[in-house]
Amino acid sequence: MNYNLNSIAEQEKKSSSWAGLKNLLNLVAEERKRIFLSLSAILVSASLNLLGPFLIGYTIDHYVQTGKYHGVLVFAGILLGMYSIAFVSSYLQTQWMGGVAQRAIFKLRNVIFNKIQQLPVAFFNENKAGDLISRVNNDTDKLSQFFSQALMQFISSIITMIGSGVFLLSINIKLGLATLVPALVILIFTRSVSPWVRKRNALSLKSSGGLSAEIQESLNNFKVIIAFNRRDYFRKKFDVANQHNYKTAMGTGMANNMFLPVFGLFSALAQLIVLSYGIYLITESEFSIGLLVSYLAYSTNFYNPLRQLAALWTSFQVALAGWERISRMLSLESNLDIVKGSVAKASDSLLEFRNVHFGYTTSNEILHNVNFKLEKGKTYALVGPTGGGKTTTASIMARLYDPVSGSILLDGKDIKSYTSEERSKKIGFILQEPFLFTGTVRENILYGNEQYHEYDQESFLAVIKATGLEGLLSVFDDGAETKILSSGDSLSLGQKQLIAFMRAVLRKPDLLILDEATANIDTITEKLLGEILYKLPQETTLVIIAHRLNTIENADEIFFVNSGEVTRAGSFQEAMDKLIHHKRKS
Amino acid sequence: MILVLGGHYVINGKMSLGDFAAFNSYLALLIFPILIIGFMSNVIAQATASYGRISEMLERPDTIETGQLAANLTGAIEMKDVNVNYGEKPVLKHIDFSVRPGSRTAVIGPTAAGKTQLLYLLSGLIKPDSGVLTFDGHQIDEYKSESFYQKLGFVFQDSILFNMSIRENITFSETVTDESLQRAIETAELKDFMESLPDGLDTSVSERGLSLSGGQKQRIMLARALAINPNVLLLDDFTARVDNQTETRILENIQRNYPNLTLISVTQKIAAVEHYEQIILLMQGEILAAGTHKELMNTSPEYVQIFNSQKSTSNYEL
Ligand SMILES: Nc1ncnc2c1ncn2[C@@H]1O[C@H](COP(=O)(O)OP(=O)(O)OP(=O)(O)O)[C@@H](O)[C@H]1O
Ligand SMILES: Nc1ncnc2c1ncn2[C@@H]1O[C@H](COP(=O)(O)OP(=O)(O)OP(=O)(O)O)[C@@H](O)[C@H]1O
Ligand SMILES: [Mg+2]
Ligand SMILES: [Mg+2]
Repeated sequence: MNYNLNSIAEQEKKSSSWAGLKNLLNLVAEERKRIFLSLSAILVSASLNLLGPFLIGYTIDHYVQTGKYHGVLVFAGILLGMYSIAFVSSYLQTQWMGGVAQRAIFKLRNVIFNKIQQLPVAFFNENKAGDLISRVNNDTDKLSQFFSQALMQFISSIITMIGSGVFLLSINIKLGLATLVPALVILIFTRSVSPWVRKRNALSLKSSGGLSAEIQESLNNFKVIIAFNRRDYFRKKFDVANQHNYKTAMGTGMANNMFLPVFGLFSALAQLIVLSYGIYLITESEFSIGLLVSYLAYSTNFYNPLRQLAALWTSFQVALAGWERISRMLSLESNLDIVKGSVAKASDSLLEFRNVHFGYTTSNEILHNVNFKLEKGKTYALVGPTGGGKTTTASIMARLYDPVSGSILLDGKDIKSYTSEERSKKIGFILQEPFLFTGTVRENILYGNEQYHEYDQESFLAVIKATGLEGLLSVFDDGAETKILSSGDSLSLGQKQLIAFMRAVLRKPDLLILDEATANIDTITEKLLGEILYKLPQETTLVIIAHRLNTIENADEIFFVNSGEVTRAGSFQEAMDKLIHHKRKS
Repeated sequence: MILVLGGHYVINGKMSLGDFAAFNSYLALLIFPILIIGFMSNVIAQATASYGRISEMLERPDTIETGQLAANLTGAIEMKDVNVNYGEKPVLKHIDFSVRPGSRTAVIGPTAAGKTQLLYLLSGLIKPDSGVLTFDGHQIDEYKSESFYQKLGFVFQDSILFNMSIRENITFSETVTDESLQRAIETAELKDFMESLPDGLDTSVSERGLSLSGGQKQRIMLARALAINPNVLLLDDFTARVDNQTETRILENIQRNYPNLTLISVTQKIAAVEHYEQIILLMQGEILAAGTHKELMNTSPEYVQIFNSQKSTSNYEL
């Protein structure tokens, strides 16, 4: 299975802009009410704006030309009222859509987070962290911009255009048709170049992802580079990525900017047509002057939005390109097949390893014939020398890998028969290196939590209190609302681990695996963590991997893991003896 | 407005209907740019903010090599009233301490106390906002940075491995000889592991070091710092990810193979550092107490509290 996001891109076929838009709209499907409101607001403001020119023309023909000044004033008043209403409704619309965009992006990041949790470790091996972070932060941002700023303008432009078109045609069909010819040309032009423009944008996003990966690698590792005096090496690497990014960005910029002048040219052309043909019609007395004035206004009303569309179209293409990159990640399926038809046998053990053999490569077996059972509600500790196979064992428990031979039963059923959603609901695995998003501590704790992810500050704090996590928030300057900058660089390692811990505990899994999850947290806070774990529901099974002995002394049972063998230690003392007398192989 | 005034003028004969029509079109022309200006001002505001941030960075003077001194650090380190802030927030406050050449110092303190920041200071990764830090009586920027970093080894708290071979990861600085590479690998207890790998030292490491176990990564980081034959070694929570027995062996190896090393070690485990010449207790950016284990047990209730939180199993510690 290929998990490399960037190479998958090449194999994909192009989807049309419309299909893309539909997918994008699915994102905000739940916000139907608000969108509906915004839409009606837009309709109101657009149609009011549309009526304007008609009224002006009417006034000119009936009052100005006949010299009835009073009528002019009345109609001016009506116009003023209409325009104010239009203004208010378009303001409201902007507000509503801003909210919709915010929530949609939060939801999207949530989904991405869940996905990241479900994907096998191989995924992280094949994709650079920087590129992932760019996908999660940068690309979702592009989408959010589209939703909050562009989408409704887009719709409003289209409505105004259609309205104007209708007016144009209904006032005078011949003149109308003539005016609309340039629009047709534009339409054809846009349709034919859009796929190409989108491809350029995708390329550009990809290379900025690559750049971000390079920067991420360098910034994250910057301290090493400085402390070991190797700036030269990374300057070179960065230059290459940057050059590449520059080239694609230039190309994309040119493609994106092509729309505006072309649209401008054709709308000027259309006005020319209106004017010359209109005057000709007036001389033929098929047309009135008032109507011509309205007509000119409508044709600008038709072509201005079109020009705006040109600008928006770019933003739309950028959003689509971003969306494609994200959805590619979301559509990745784990290579671990789901096997149907395993029948649950009544069993008191939550998880069982049966004759499990495993190796990352075929030539090098890491785990040799491992057998054990984990009972519901008990706490287990895995101890052993470094490189002994603890993390490997835990990864197999969470089905990040499948065993080469042997089987694993979860609740009496083959673990392969669970879907990844079911599995990740049951099993919580705190990754050794926590994955943090730019945002607040609260958001980071709630990402990926189905039950609580829509909680606001207050209800969140209530949950935190109920689970006893309250005390842990005090190490953050502003508690739950502390800002996390550049994906966690501003936090100490212990703080990151605390966030990952709270995240996992709030998910309330049946089996919670902590792989050195608290290794860098001070011993006093760690005691607090112990109490929190103790308060988890009775049935929760814990697997704790730690080198610190305090962390594991309260375990019900201890397994000793060394050289790929897992043996049960009869007592804490026996485990310690084993630790003292073991021979480390790696 | 236009309608009212224009209508008025046309009716009064001051303006022809043609002028009025032209005027109307001009107005429409005017409105579009105004709309775009509204749209653009948004973009411009964002761009200005970004530009501000970028130019702030660009205008920061390129770290000019001012240092002339060749460093031959003995390990005499002194900090006097050092403060570090991130924006409004103080991270280290009034830090005062000194380290004797060849001695071992431990830094202990709760999560987010500022321990890592303290090591960043010592390695010149961040600069004090006020106060002085000296090595052998000279500030870091008086030294040639190249020679300074050849004498200072730093093992970071998070494992930072590059997408290169294990050999390149360890001999990261260009001045490493084969002999010092071998000694570093032995000291970090990596010899057996390297021999078990099919490609040995030339095995490549993926970006985040995922094909290695936590302790293996940590030991490679240690080997990297030792390979330059440093006079001063900074360890940031090194012991967190290796088992106790390996840890003890490594610390013994360091003592044997690098006898004159000045060691500053951030740690959470008191047992491993009880016999160090100096233990510094750091809390919320301030030094609460400093001294030997015995002194601290007598004078610092906070230290005793930390000690007690680890005591229950300390009789098993090795
Ligand atoms: N993705 C991988 N590909 C290949 N080999 C791996 C991979 N991950 C781990 N290994 C190897 O498998 C062995 C067991 O590693 P594992 O991570 O399970 O050790 P561990 O007991 O967790 O050690 P530690 O206490 O150091 O974390 C090690 O020799 C390691 O090098
Ligand atoms: N770049 C930064 N910007 C702002 N604040 C920062 C930055 N780096 C660190 N901090 C803050 O400085 C404080 C001290 O961090 P530091 O990493 O030194 O803690 P620590 O003592 O090493 O903790 P741990 O034991 O968890 O590693 C923390 O509150 C952290 O949030
Ligand atoms: Mg491990
Ligand atoms: Mg730290």
